[in-house]
Amino acid sequence: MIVKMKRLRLLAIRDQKDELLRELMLLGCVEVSELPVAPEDETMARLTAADSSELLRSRANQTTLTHAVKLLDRYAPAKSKLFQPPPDTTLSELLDDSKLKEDLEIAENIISLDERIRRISADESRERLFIESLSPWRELDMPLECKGTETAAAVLGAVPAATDTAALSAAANSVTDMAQIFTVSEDKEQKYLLLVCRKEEKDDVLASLRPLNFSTASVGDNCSGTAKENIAAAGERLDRLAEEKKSIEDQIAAQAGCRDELKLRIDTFSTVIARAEASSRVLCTDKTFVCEGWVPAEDEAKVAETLSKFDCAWETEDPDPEKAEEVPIKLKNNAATRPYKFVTEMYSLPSYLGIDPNPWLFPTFCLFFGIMFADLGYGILLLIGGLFIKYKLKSKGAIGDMGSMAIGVGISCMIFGFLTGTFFGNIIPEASKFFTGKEAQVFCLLDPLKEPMTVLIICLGIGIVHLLLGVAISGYMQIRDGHPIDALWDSGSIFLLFIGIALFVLVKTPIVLIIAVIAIIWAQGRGAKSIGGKIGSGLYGLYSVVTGWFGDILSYSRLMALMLAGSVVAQVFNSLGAMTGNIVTFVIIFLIGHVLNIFLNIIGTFVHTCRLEYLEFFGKWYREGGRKFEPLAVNTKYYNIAK
Amino acid sequence: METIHSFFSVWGGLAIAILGGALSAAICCAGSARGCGVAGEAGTGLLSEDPSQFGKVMIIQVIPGTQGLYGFVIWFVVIAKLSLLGGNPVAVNIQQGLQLACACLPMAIAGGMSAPAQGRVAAGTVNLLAKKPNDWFKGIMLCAVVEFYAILGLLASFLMISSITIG
Repeated sequence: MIVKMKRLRLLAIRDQKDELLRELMLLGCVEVSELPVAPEDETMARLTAADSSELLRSRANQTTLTHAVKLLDRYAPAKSKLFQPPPDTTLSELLDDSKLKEDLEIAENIISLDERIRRISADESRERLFIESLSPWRELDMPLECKGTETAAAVLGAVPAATDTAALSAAANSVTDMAQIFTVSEDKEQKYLLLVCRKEEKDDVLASLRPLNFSTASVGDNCSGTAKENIAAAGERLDRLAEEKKSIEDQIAAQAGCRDELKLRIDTFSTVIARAEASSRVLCTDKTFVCEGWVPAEDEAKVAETLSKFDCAWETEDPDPEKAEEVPIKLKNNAATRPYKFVTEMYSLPSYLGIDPNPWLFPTFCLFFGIMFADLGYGILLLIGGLFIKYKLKSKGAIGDMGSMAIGVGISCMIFGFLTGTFFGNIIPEASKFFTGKEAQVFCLLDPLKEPMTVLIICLGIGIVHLLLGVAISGYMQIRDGHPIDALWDSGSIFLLFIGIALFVLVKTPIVLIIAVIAIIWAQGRGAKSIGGKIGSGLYGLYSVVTGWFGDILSYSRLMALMLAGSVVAQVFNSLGAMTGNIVTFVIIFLIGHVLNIFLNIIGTFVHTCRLEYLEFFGKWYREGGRKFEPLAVNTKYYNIAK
Repeated sequence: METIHSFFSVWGGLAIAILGGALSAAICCAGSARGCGVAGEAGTGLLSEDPSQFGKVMIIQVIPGTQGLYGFVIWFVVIAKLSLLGGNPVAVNIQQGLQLACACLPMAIAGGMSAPAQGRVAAGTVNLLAKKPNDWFKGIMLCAVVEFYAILGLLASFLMISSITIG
């Protein structure tokens, strides 16, 4: 059911704004919307928007806390059990903002510690690079800062590994016999050399070596001592850095006890942000503020009671039917139909003047899912999974809805699995043959693999009923909106057509069918002005109705297709397993095969069930386009509020 | 000539039937390999940025793998019908062999062509996962739309094979 909404207009004292929004948040049934201000309206133009710095600050603070929790999870991973329901907290604890500052300091401390770790990591990689650059000169026992003696020059350099050292010496000696080249070390790419010669001949010697690809190397600028000493010193520095890093990491890990507190404060900030967002939408004068919003008609009394505590003036009014698209949509469903709002929301919420599809989705979704996924064993697994999510994990929101859905469709799968005699495919006959050599008989009302035609006809029949249900809803909506004549033509003619077809097939009287066809031509053509136009668009309408319905009905053959595909794959895995003749491989193939089959079929079945609902069923009647009602309320991520 | 004729009339039907089953497995598996390959390539791109998405990427990658499985199922059904694995194949004449081979075609063609197509949708789903991690399941649902036609191929082949009588 689509809940009736009322527009709320509220004028109150500015000093009481925060307290008032807090009370409304606890009430959780008022949506504060943007106040429409016409640009030419001078009175409204004088109002100022409320300060939004609080909102920005709270968002930044929440990001800080979230970042800190992430860091805690990295340096001190929580030993969380899989499938654990969120912990409980009380409302007063959640809204207690006295500790916010303290907790923010803890979070900022954790983040600054992490920044220090990152700086240390940068230092470490710099030291490693330094060691790497020095390591070719490790064996050189000359201090690196030494550039020679009074008369002799010492030059460090490198040549490609393929260069012959004898050729280098020969080249140097062609300039002067007072030059010598020592090989310090070599690796795959290069030879590292020390050239000693007289200072005044240095440039000439270097020039002679240049054709042999000799390049001078600048090693360890600004450092004294031999390469070996420098490497050892850098190694020591690395050890110290690693120690420091470890100790900082321990400091962060020591804060692990604050994790739950920080998570609670993230949720606290969510409530602060929600209030600040609402607050940013109100308009203020110096002493008062004005805001607009929506409240469900059924909650008006509660809101009145809360507002009576404040010095304020307020009024509610029914929404203007001309502007129905403005009204936010809240769907009120019972425990069985509520989970399907997730299917509805994936398509689009109904418009305020439309009809809540959830009560119709519940039976048809279960039915289609059950037919396509028909297997007693798979149904039991779905049911167990749903019960586990619902009652062990106590999940709320989307996951909880999935759980409720799994319970419904699981039962439906069990029923259809039982009727078609499938339990993990044909595991009962297959296993009894495997163990006893005799094939056990299973109860089976209709074996889809033996009588696919019967199954197909049943599926198409279900499709016709489903589609006619849609036409009936569409007719109801037209009557409700005061267009009974249109309802009679649009929906009545379709019903007449099917009655006509049924009579023609069963008792061979074509008269009703002929009347129905004429009615459809008239119904489809009644919008046109001239007689020719009426006939033309009527005939074209008849053509589209017939082809459209033909396609729509045939689309339900997917019910049979997916049902058969699932059981074929299951049976093949069963017989593959049995064929090995070994109990262990039988069990392994059984497990792998059925896990795969269930995974693939759940996705396929879900998609095709949705498709039948969206395209075929909704296409006949659904009025979409609603916006979701999002009241100012307490929404948490990590904690569950205990009532 | 005489010997060739008698050889074919004894063994030809069996060979043609096996050819049908073998093509169904081979073409579908080759298609799935291409599909999984495309999806996997896209997946490695995402994983190099965010290795924590491995689970989801793997789920997306295996989706185009189902056609290979279906082709294998049809191969298995043919082989089981011929009792080939027991070592005593049933006698199949040329007509029956051709019937079985033709019945394998829907699976072979639908599977072999839909798997690469689905692989491209799966690769797109990896992009979706990278950009909008919360909406990745919608991509999976788009993949399932392609899957449906492979399922129809599987059913068409299966129903034909199971209604052909041999021996």
